Amino acid sequence: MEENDRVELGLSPTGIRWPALGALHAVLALSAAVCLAFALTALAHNEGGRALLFLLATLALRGFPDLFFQHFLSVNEERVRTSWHDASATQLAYCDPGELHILDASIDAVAGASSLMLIRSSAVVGLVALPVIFVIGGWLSGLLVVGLLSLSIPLYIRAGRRSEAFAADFHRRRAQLVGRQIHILRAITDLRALGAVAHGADDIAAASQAENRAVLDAIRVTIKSSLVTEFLAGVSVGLVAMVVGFRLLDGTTVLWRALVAVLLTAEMFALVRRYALEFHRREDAERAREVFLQWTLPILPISGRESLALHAVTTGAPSAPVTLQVAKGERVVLTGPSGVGKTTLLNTALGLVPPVTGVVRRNAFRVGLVRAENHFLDATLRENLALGTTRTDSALFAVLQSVGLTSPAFRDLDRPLGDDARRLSTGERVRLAIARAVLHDSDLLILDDVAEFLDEISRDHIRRLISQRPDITVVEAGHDVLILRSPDHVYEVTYA
Amino acid sequence: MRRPWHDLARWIARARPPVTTLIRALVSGTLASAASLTLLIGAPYLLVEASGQPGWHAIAGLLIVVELVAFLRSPLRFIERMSSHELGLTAVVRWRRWLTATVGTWPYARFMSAATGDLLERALADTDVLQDLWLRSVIPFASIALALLGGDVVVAFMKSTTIDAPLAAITLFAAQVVLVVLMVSQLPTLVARERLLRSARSRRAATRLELQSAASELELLKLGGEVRRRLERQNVLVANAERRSRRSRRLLNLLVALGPFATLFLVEGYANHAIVMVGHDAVVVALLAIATIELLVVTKQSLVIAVAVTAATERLDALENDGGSGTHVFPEHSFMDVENLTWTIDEQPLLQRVTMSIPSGRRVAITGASGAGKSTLLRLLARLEDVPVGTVTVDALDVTAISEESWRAHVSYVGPVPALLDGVVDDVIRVGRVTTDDVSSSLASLGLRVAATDRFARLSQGEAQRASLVRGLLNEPTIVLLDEPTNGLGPDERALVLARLRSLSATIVIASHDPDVISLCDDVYELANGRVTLLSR
Repeated sequence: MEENDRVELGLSPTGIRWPALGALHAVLALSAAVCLAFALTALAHNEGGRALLFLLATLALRGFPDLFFQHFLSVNEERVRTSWHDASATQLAYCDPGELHILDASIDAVAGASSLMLIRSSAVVGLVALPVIFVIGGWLSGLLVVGLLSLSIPLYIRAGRRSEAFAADFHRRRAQLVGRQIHILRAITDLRALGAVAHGADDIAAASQAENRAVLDAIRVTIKSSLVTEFLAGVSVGLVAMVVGFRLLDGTTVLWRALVAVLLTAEMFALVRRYALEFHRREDAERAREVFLQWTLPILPISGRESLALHAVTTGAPSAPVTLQVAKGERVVLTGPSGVGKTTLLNTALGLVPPVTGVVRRNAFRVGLVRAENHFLDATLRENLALGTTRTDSALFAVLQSVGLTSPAFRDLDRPLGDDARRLSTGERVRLAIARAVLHDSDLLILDDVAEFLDEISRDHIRRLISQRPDITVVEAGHDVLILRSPDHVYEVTYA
Repeated sequence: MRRPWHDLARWIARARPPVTTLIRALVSGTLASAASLTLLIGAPYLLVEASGQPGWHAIAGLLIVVELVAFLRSPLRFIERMSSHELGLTAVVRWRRWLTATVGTWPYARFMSAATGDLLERALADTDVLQDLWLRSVIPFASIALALLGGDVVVAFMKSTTIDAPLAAITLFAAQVVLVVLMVSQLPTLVARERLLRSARSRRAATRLELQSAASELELLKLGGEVRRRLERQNVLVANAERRSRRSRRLLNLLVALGPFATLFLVEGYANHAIVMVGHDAVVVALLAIATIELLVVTKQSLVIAVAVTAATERLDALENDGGSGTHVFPEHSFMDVENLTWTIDEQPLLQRVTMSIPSGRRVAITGASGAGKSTLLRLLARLEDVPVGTVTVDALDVTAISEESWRAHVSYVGPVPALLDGVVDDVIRVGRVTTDDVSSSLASLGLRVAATDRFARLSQGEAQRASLVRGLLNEPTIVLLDEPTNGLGPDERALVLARLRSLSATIVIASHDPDVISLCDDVYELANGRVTLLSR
């Protein structure tokens, strides 16, 4: 994929400034605590009207802003997911089916990023309550809170890290256990034939139990960790209540100040705690972006008359380092024993996998890749050929004719090919893929071991087609039977 | 029309919790929530009392009590959470055991479609929601609800001069109940939207998988835009479903925001003859009304989880069983008769009106080209597939009338691909069955020299084939059905197997194209074009 094709993937497509929203959230929460303090004071002093007003204000400050925050967060998440899913269409070309869940996991991580930004700035702004507590509650309360908070923060972070490590470990174990259970479930018919299904079920239950014991042990550690933090928060509120309580009894302070000190402490700890426990998630969005982009490989460009050049390239297959150049319009054959890695070499040359060593340079043009396992869309013949471009029927028929697909089955362009064109024979698929490549003016045609699937008549069709297009560079990989009769170069791929 | 409550109940029935753990979780959770409430309400109330400067000692003492409560809360939460986790994990074990036992009764065809359709993997993955059901839904909700109920009771018994305490308590309670019921009644709507969302998502996943295979080729042709375009369509559908799902939660969110208001109004307006409830006691009531927020938030969370569980009911439907098996014991005489057995795949007949007769003790070979249907025929005889058209009888009794247990004890089937051969030799060969056979000498008679306490380690094809055969022949079954038993065996090994088969007095039906096996048999049938012809007797 070209550099300039890469889509800009953002975390906030709605344009909302999450830090500002987070600050607002903190201010509203703290104000709610102060309102409540006033309300309770009014109640205590038998001022019914004032009390009611402040109570309503408290509830308004607590309840309604959350509605809006939730709404914004959901809308943003929706947009993030949609835009990243759209962009993932490109990743599909480069990742394996088995890696799709990694893609999903990274989209999930990114979708959660905006709520994290909100929680973070909310916690930071929440610390504004500290000087207020000092002023209103007195220096002792202030010192208590500062002390306990600084004690708590590293503990919160540690608790968050522990639960993250636990979660990762848990998923790994669970995947292993599920794997083992799938193994048993897959052979369930054999067990049934032996009358041993109950035995299999017991086996699975026993394995799950053993797993549970390990999980419970790990959970114990993480829960203890997080409860220590909750404990500190509770103790802080209690201690502040004691301190201001005694001052009330002494007469050195008034009720509203005491209540404000206690309620602000509780609220501030709540805000800070929420962030610290999610602290470990902050790297997830960045990592997700990296994961997401890992599959797109930039192509090193090449100039001049060369269209493809490999320099001392080795791949995961056991082939010796390969060096070759292919000029524009050349006909090149790659030979070598089966299993040596010709297909892997071609995949590397096309940028689908990175080379283990060596350098690949390729001209950035259209490549028609033709192999026995070509894939097609679950759509009509016309759609599979035109692929979103507008082509006249006669143009489509012409290209089908040029590859020798003239049987009745190929006269109806609106015939659906079905799931991955299963009903077609391999020879028909190969020719359809060539037709597709030629129709879209491929500059480079790669024929990967396809000659053996075609009869001699079809091979002649292709040969004629190729000779009519001297501008197309053709690289064929094969051994015995070949389409290219007189290639310009023959490269042999040998074992290392 | 789906019944969400019924579906939710089905899930819970599949994953019932152990009662003692449930009680432990509920009790500790309620106490922890009560401790939180006491802290939330007690601390301000005591400050209010302290400002009135009554007895020093009483207040000081109470403040210290509040501090102690703050200490106690954490250990109580610890017990609650550990118990909740235990509940969730036990539920998961029960679910998996049930899943295995259920899948084990399926006919082969149904099993194959579930396995290739990923159903089994997803059913195993459902454990997340099951754990959440206990950990983040049932227990937290019950805890806070009970704690608030406790708070209401405390208010009811308050001796107050400024407020009508019992009426305040009743009003509080009524408001809380009404709010929770209103929220919970949203379950059917939420479930319906969630189901739509899930089907949109799975359609997108299917499209993505389908596009993925062609994606790299199209990308090379610089036509990746087509892939993008098709995926975009799906993305839009999913986004719409997500939006609709979000909208269906609006009422819930509104109730959470407005609920405490409503409670406060009701209490203030209703509970007193004066216009507004005041005084120190009013502080308690006001704080309790505010604490209702906690209940509503937890209710919402529980609902979300309940929705996730209920919406997955299609999976439960796909898994649940229809019909049982017969009750007869395996008959005395074991001659088998097959009549007009027909089996079609994709509207193509694989077996057409197959009729054969297998007398007791006979050795029968079934030959034919690969793909002709030998394996399917054997599976039908083994009762691993349901007979769609035709009958299979033993001693004139339809095989489906015989109980599964009795059938399996008398009829043995060994498939062409050996599986589940890792572990301790004795366990692997017996698979939980009781036997008087000597496992290691049975294995030795086929050339496998292992002790019953050894572990099978990386068996070759031939070794696996033979071990599987020994396992199938344990306890001398009456009828033995073998699919390609000599596959991958060298000549010496084959001789051992043939000797073993010759020594059996059971009825043997073998699908094979091995000439040595065929010469061992009395009757040889050929299966071709869906029809069975007797070649020799």
